[in-house]
Amino acid sequence: MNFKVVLYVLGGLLRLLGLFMVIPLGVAYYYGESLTPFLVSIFITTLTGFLLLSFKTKDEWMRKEGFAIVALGWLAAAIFGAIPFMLDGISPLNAIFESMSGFTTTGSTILTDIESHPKGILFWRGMIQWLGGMGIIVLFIAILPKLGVAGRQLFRAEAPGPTEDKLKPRVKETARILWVVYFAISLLQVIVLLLAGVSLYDSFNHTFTTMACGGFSNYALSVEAFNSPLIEFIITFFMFIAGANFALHYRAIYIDKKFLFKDDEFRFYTVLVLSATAILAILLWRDMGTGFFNSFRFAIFQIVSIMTSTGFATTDFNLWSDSAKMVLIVVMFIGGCAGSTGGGMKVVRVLILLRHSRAELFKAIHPRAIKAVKFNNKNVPDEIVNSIVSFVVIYLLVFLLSTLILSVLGMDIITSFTASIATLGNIGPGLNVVGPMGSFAPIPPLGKLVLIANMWIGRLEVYTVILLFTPEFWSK
Amino acid sequence: MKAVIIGAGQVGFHIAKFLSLTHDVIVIEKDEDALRRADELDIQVVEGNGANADILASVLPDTDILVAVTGVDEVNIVACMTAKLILRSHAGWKDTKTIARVSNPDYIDSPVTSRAQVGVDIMICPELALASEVAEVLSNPSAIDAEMFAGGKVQMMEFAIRPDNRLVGKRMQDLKLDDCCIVSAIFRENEIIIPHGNDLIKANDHMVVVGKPRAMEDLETVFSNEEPHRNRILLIGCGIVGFYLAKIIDKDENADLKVIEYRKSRCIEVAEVLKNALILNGDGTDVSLLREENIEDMDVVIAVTDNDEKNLLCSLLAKQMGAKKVIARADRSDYVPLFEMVGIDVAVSPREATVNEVLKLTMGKGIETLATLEGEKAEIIEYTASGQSKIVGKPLSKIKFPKDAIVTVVVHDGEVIIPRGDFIIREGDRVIVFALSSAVKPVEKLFK
Repeated sequence: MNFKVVLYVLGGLLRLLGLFMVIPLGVAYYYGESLTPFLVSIFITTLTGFLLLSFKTKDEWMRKEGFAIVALGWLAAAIFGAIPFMLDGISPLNAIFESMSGFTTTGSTILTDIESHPKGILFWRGMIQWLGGMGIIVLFIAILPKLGVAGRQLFRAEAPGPTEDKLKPRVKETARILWVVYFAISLLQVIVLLLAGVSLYDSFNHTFTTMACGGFSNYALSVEAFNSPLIEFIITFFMFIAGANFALHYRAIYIDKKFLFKDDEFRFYTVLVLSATAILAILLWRDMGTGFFNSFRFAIFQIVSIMTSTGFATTDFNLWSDSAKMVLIVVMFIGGCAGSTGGGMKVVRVLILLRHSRAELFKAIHPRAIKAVKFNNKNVPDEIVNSIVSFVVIYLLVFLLSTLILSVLGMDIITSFTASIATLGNIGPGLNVVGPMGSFAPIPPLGKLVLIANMWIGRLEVYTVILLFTPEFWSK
Repeated sequence: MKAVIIGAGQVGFHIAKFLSLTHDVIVIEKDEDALRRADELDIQVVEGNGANADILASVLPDTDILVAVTGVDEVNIVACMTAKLILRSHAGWKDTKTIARVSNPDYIDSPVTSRAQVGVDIMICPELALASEVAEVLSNPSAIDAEMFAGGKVQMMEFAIRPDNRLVGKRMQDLKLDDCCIVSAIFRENEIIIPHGNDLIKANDHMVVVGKPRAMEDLETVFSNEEPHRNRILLIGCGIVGFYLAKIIDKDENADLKVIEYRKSRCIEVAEVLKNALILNGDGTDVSLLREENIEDMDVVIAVTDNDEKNLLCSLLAKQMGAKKVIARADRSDYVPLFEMVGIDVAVSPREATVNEVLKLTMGKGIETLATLEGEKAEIIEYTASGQSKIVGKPLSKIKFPKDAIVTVVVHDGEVIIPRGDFIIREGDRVIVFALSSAVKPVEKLFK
């Protein structure tokens, strides 16, 4: 392992992060709030960045260094991004939890009285979600001068989904396109929200967290605070977009709209969202007596919000019937599409696994049959199927282990279970204690550490982080 | 700039690796494993046959250059032809230059040639390119590498300083070099040094000299301890490379050539063409045959069979039995440094030769030729100074030139000049720069 290279690249990353902190500084200045938290954070982050940049080296990096840079880069971003929260009076562990939850677009919060915090701090809280949404490493690749092959490795270690989508021969161009599309759709949402009568500050904050599938809101009541079906619908629409593949959006916008509906994953994603919404709406109507319109309104918002791993709420679904809550738990395990800003296991993995299992069943009857798993009319190579299987195994292992630890620490089953999947899937709220109107504050410190690890592991899709903890990674 | 490369074997991979630094590269390859290896680079890969019209049509728009370097000649040629036909039916598309690698001597008879009438703008034969590289080295027996620039007006040569050379321990300024050549670099162990007047010359240094080809002929007397005499050459293996090389050597009146080839029928074929050479039917690793043919008196032994391992063995045997200089062909370019490490004086690779040829042809405007030295650590680049170049119109000493680069030769109006500090580069001059890889970028800026 070449630590010099790793530290050098981390230095560049921190310098960039320090630069981004200037934006909430401006917001704090505009609202006449204390500038100290941001000034100090900018100083510490940038200084550390420059110190690490002194490790300048021409050494080439290999696969290992690429993984280490991405995994440690996210950890460093979470820690340095937490400094403004710490200076706002939040305890270090809670601040890092909030920051990790931000960057990984989880949206689980430890804040209990959100509105009492300064606007600058809440803006930063939303903004780190937006930065983390498309990925800080992808941003780094897009902005930085040529990284070449090394950039490819970083891109792959961060990119969500089992395979990467190459839009252009160069990874830098691909990264740039993804950010431009992300930026453009975000801008569109800000404008639409403004037209719907949302204030500029709220528009930005909610766009940041919608487009990133994040779920932080500057209101304790989340999107329920607006109490407007129109705004809910707008946010639902953009959550749905953000939960789909951005490479696909690029192709749909620049080449042909047909790309969207030709894509197996997008079709399956749409079908899943619609059918889950229908089931949930019926259950709400039957069990909760919410009326026809409201059942549909809550159902579609909540399904899209939870499945894309955003985690906004328009109602306290903690109070729903068990059957309705169960539907939410099921979609928690699916998540968004590959190449989206959403978390979870990803629709494409679920789809390929289902097809793979179907083929295996078929082979039980016709042992000599050659039945390939297809995706977008192409055979899926065995290695990809195998890597998806092992991904799911590790994912579920991490989930079970984390549930177990939380239970041992004294949390009830539902809280342990949903807090684990909500953080591992980067969703945000769970049920019971950690419900949409609740907070993660009551979780014991060790439990918080486990959940921080969950978010980190979940955002980088298991391998990148888990690899750091294997002996092979460190052996020469 | 966009480049499409067909075939991701050794040659294709290296070209893709190099071009991806400055170009958008798309690689088309059938073999899954090769494709996966290429996918590690910062490029786009397409699975399929490179001669497939549908695939070509999808990647061709805006492509500047198409390089077909699969192992099959016909696929390469057909891919280039198809590309040209597709371009003809799409008037708006940028014209694409096509380059094909072709080995079969039935299709190609010199290292690089144009076959525009069949849609291949440039055809490169790796074996012939290799043979001519060896021939260039042979022309100066103590040189271990040689390359031509500026259309043959300037030559680069690399010399190894043996421990018994009388130059060891002397200073650079004591070297009595002709005015028309200059030592532009010294490779010492793993270092590359841009030399100055009072630098010491050490044993096992490799010196890179650039200058006029005519002046270079006399370098032999500077770098070698021996009196000139007839060149005794033994060639082992007479396939495409061997035969082409034998034909060149055969014309040299100052050389005695012996050829060993193990296929009798091939020997008869070759003997018909070669007038002066002695053709021997036998095995290059046969010690008694080598001894019978006075291997200990040989000036140069060249092993160019199709088998890397055999080439290594033959040449090591020859070296051990007393041959002065051994040259071996290594098809796998990874073997080149290894071969040279175990005692082979010069190892040459047809793949490297192809990669060099393609890179020469693909370098952008103003930059015309390129050679890489010591495994891509240093480059020799030829620029044509344009009116806007920052380097034009000022004395060289006034220009902030990168430390790790040196202007070696300027060709002004067809005249080769070794520039001093007060030299002023004019528009249209061809400037040959030696630069370490790190200094290439800043140098390029000076010529923009």
